[in-house]
Amino acid sequence: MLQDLLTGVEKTSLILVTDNALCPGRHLLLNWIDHLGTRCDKLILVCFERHPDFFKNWLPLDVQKKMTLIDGRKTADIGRTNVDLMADVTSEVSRTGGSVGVVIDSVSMLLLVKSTPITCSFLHNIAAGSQVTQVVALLHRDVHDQNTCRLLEHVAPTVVEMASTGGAQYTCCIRHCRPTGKVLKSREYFYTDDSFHIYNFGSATSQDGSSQHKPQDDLTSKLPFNLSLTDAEKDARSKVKLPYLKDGSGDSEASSGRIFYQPDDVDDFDEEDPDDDLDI
Amino acid sequence: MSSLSTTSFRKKARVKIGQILGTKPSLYNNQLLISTGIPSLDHVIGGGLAVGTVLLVEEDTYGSYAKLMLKYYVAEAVMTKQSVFLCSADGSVRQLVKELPAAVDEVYSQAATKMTSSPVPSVGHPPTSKQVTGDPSSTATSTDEKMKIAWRYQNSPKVQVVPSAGTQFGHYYDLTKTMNADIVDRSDITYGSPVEVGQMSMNPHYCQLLQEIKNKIEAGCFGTGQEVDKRSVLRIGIHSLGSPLWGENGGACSKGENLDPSLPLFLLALRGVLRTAFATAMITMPTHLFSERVFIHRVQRLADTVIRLDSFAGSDKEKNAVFKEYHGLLHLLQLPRLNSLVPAQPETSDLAFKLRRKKFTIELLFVCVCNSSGSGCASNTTADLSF
Amino acid sequence: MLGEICQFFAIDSSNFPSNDHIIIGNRSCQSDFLVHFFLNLCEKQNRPVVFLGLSQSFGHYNSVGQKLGNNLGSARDERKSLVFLESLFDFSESIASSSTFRSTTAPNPFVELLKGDSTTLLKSINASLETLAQIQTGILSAPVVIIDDLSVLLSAGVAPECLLLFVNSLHELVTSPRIKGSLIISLHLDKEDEKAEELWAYLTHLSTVKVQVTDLASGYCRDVHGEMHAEWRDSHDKPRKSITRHTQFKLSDKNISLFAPGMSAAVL
Repeated sequence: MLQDLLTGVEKTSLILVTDNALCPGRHLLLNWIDHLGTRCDKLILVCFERHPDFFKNWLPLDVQKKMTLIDGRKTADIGRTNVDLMADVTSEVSRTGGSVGVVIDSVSMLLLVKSTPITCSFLHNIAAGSQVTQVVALLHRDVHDQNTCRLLEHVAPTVVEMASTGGAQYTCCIRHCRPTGKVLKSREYFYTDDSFHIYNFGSATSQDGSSQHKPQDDLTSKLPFNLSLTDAEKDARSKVKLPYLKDGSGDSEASSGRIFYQPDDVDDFDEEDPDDDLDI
Repeated sequence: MSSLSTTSFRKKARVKIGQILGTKPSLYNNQLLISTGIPSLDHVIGGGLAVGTVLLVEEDTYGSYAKLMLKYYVAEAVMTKQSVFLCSADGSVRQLVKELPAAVDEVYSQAATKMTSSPVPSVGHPPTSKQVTGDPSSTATSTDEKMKIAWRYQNSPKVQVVPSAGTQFGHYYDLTKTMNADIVDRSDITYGSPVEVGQMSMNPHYCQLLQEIKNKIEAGCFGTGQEVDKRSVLRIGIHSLGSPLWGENGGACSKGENLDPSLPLFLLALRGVLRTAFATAMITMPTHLFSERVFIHRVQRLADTVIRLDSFAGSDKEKNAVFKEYHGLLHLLQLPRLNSLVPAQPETSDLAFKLRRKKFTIELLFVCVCNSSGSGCASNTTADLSF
Repeated sequence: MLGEICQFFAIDSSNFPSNDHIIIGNRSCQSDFLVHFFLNLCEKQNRPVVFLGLSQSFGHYNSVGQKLGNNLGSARDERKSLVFLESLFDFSESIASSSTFRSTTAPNPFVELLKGDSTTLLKSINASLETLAQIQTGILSAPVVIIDDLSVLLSAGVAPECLLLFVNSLHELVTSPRIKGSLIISLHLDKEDEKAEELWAYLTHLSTVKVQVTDLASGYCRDVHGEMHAEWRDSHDKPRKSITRHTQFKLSDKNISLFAPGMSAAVL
């Protein structure tokens, strides 16, 4: 499903990509801008954490030409106070003729400067615009409290949660609500190459998201000797009576162990108990 | 440089002319130290309290041992003629000053004055046979004999003969005797005044306290920037800071769930004030009242030296025969990392305190583990060793 | 000490840090030796440094610097390549100003921070950067701003949101293409302190290099004082694969020894 969302086969107006410090979502975002840029006439990129050149230099030339960069890092700048970024973005959107894509990295600053409900409304309203193809926003789960994350996830029809990463492989959990009402959930992985382009998609079934867990049978089948049991053998195994387990069928009192000892000539058999003088 | 050596040899600091009374330089870094009044505690925290730092004593549950430590601190100030600024929320410090223990050296100094014929040997030099002349008074003879037989151990604190109380670092005190009221009266003790509630968001008690400390430092010329003929050190003692009597709600704001930043802010501001003054603060704090561990950690980080007292009084440890010899545990939580990359490493962190009739000492916790009956150790062999 | 740590970071000591945003998270009870490392490294390179001293006074850094063979005092007063902002004293001033009389001189940056406004502090850092820019004309003229340590502000009651805004603006100011400087922020962390952890998480997202210093999981040890993890993340102008490095260390009076886990002098 991730590939469909990326390429636009599966349509959605607002995507929230959530990440944490251990598994950052910026590389996915780069790829998303790339794909979105090919589908739209214009792309608006709002940057808060990296300089706009970070994105621009990575993207191909044709996407670069369509981009309008809004540098949001001066939100609390010494010179500029009361910068209303939201108004800037809204006006920028309405200015264009053709289809527009909006990408925001990340919404943390918006949430700080304005409250959570206002940020949610802003994202929703932008995404609802008629010429807007798609809005993609990045949210850091570990910076904001659970309540904020939940509210934002509620507003977005599609949520891609970055779950784990191991080298070049990333695993994410996707929740997508179609306009028809159907909700699709999946857990998928993707690989990035050296230039951080995504090249391999797949569905991750296991919990840990690492390489596929081989079922136990595979190990035993490669051996030159036979470790498995036939059904008859399994049956016989279950019937084996273990020596110290009590069944109902045996005698209820165990016969006390008795030792029968025949002393030899050389044994010094003394009737007295040498431990008699111990005072325990 | 090695950490605390395993021998009992301690390099004696040379007494310099013009040195501040009652101070000595640290062996680890170029800091000036003062004594807490409890020599065994001085040894454990790296030789003494560094001037310009804050000692935080996390109180035992009922606060009695922390208060006792404060008494030693003030008594030491009186003995070394250092100024004192004391404050508590309920004015209990005034009573505390009336109950200061008398110094044991008063006895020795009386003996020293009787030995008029012989010059008293200065610290660090063994006496020659000429100096050890007999004096008919019995106390002098016994001290003479001590010098003759064991001049090598002259430097060991217990047998020290002091020319005057001022140049020695650290004194021994007798808890059964109260310090002479005249000596106390002659010393410079200032008290903090009760607060007038103002219009501040921060706890007004702390604001007032900080302001008074600053005033005292300036008035007494303790600031490092101030020029003065005879340098002295100001000892600041604050009793039970952070108790409800100071308006502290256990670390939490009165409304809402946030932590009240007043106390950490006070400590931070105090640090700023002390770093540019010849002053040291000893603060006792009932941290067991604070609800959040985060708050306690913040407060600890903003002090320089932190110790915590865990008294056995009223707990089931009191009945535990293993701890029979002691009255509580002393935890060394933090040593100052000032002016160096690494603090003085403690030999061990198993320390306990003992309050005997005459004195209060800090000792290494010695737990005797015996596995056969009738061996010569003090604790009961059938005791349950539960930690 | 400088040599060992440079080797650990596997960098050329003449050129590091270079347009980096480095964050140091101290989860241990050891000293902030990395702050001393960066300060002394920059002094050896004769780089302009703006140091925001929030937890200790200048004397502390100067004493350690002298042990490492640097004269920070002359760097500050004569060569003027070090601007040391003694913010520790702002805190005591802030309390005093609220009680009796208000100081008529410049507004106290800390009081402003408490109100949620970081512009005064930013202005003073900006002014220091401009002062330095006028003096330094050498090759390594990119300034370095070091903050030690940010969690003190959190303890003293500054709102986390205000700190996030402050860090964001400072990041933009210092690492901008115009200045191309480096920003180094030190933070004391506590697993139970949620606000500090959230601040740390945001700084991690912003940073280019993240270093964490932790105690040994097994407790106090005389020969191994702790562990250090470093992670390189996206740089300012292009994405970068995450690289991590890990070592254990032991501090001594003038030096630090670094070794792989299990290789300390006590074990070998």
